[in-house]
Amino acid sequence: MRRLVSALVDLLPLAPDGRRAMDETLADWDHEVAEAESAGVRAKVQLLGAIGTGVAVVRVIAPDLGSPIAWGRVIALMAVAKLLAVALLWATATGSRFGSEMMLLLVPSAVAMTLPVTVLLPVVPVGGRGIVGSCLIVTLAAGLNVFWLTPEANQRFRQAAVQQEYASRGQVFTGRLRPGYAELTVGELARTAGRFTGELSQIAIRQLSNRVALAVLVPVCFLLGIHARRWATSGRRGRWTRLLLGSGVALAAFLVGVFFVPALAAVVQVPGGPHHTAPNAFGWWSTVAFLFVVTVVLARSTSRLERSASAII
Amino acid sequence: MQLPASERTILELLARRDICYGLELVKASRGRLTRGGIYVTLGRMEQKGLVSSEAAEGGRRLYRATGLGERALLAARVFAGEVTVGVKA
Repeated sequence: MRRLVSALVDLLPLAPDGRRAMDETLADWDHEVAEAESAGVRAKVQLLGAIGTGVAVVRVIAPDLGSPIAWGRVIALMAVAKLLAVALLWATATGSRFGSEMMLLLVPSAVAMTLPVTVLLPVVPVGGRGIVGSCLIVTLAAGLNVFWLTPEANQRFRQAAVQQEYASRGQVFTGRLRPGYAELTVGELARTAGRFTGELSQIAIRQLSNRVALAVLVPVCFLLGIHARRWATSGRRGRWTRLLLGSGVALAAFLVGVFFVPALAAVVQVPGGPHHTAPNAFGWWSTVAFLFVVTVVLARSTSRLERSASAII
Repeated sequence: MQLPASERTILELLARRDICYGLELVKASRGRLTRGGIYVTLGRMEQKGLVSSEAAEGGRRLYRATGLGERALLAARVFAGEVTVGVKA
């Protein structure tokens, strides 16, 4: 358990003082386990150590959440995501077809797609303070957007589109459209999955699973973006080249991982299943793939750090 | 001079023990300090110059109160009316 907790703590991009507090908490845990004389005492100190480490993580991260640096970083990231979202809408000619009001209703779903790539691009400054806080705030914002804001905006967009269509024919539409699966909030999807059986329930579960995967993708991409930025700014020479190269690789990886592979998965036919269903796990493909890359990068940078430290000693 | 309760507890314990580990402070505090918060507090106090630390074995550190920390504790006690400081006539 101690190793698992330590590995999880290592994943957090903590500031040096936060890292030191965590290292000392873990060292106390080791010390108490080594001093324990019986299995019962050992079990007790293992439990106390795990609880203490959990509380320490919260205490180390809490100041980050109120840090102006963290909030400034989040506002900058959200602004970039919004700009990318609007650019995406115009590039796909979606924006040019609708008025500015309807375009605004499309922004939440476009932000849901562009936020992971925004935090993946090596644009996050690698100062220690406020990193964890900004990661948490961006993740919460992504969850809020994916689970509640986007479905609501999608439904209003559909309603407005139908009203516009009727108006173009000189008619008035006063009814209310029944929301589709993409227009259901997280609670409505969960209720739908529980109420129905068979394919209807499966579609609701898949929609829910895909949205969770998209929300989880944000902190994973954030961690990868920090490492990309660290790599790009580590060399004295060719800093801008590295930054551009890092951005290019990140963007390409994102396009392949988040758009191309799931698009392929969508046309995969499962033997015996309905024609349009790919396994639910495909929604998690990019999240798991990026998490794997983060783990490898982190493991490599940790072992490099240990080698450098032992060389100095 | 007002000190947060946890910082005052740490300085009081260090005044009695001179030098000790963070975990020893937690155990000696009888529930007033927690093992999850002790090093965040000690780190903040070190930044303020109230305590100093030195590396010990096993990745642990030994803490002691600095002169500033001792004076801060005395000022807190005076402020709370626990001790009086005066000049004899």
